[in-house]
Amino acid sequence: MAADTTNPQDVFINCRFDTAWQGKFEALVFAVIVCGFRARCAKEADDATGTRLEKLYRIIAESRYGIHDLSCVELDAANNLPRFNMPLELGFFLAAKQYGGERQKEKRCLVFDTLPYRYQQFISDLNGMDVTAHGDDERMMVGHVRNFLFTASRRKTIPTAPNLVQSYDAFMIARPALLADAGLGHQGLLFADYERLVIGWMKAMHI
Amino acid sequence: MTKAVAKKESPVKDGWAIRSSHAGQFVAVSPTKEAALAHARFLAVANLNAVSKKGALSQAQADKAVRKFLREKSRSAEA
Repeated sequence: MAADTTNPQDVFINCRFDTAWQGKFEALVFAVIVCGFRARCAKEADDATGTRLEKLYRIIAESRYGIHDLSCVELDAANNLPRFNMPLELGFFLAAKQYGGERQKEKRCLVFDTLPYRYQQFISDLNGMDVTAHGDDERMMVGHVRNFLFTASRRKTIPTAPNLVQSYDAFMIARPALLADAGLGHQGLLFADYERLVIGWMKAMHI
Repeated sequence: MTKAVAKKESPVKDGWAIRSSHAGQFVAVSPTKEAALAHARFLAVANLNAVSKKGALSQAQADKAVRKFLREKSRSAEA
């Protein structure tokens, strides 16, 4: 795909990928897929060709929509340093929208933080942007993602927020059994495998 | 994906037809708007072209695991 085009079904997910955030990442992916979109993120770039940065450029260029979580502001327990990947990738996304071609200007993004207005203390350049607080609550994230995609895409096939959250709750209850039936462990669940389970769930449930 | 929600003239009279894909090539037709929307959602996700990624599962295996879970859930509900 040329850099001046975006795919209207692709949603770039920019968040932390550590174990502590696994559930929240999965909630974002669930909401994106069940709304009928394709989740894109740095985790899909697992082949050995090219640099990680080049892959990020490509994924961001191809994605019409973006979900960016800036809530990871604490210092890393291992090295006592902050993580800058998420603000950097948000910067790439905003720059593509600002300086890219006509199609790149169609980009829309949802920016998350844990608390309302907290972002003004650590990334004040975003003042004036509509940053959404998710309260570290996965169900709230699912609802916000749905509302964002509904508004930004104007698709009429996106399920209602209560239906989507209800389906997410049911999926979370089913998740351990689904992983067991699929022969997968809870730890180290690959993005690709999770995505396929969610697509299978959606197809079976007709949400 | 969905370009229009309109009354369908044919083949279902008094039904709803909703285009469900990016190019509009999949059309969900149902007697009620809700059913047509649900079917269109299904078609949209079922026809998503996943980005090539390495995983342990194929889509068919994932579908099978979901069906097995739902079958067992249904059995236990009946029992």
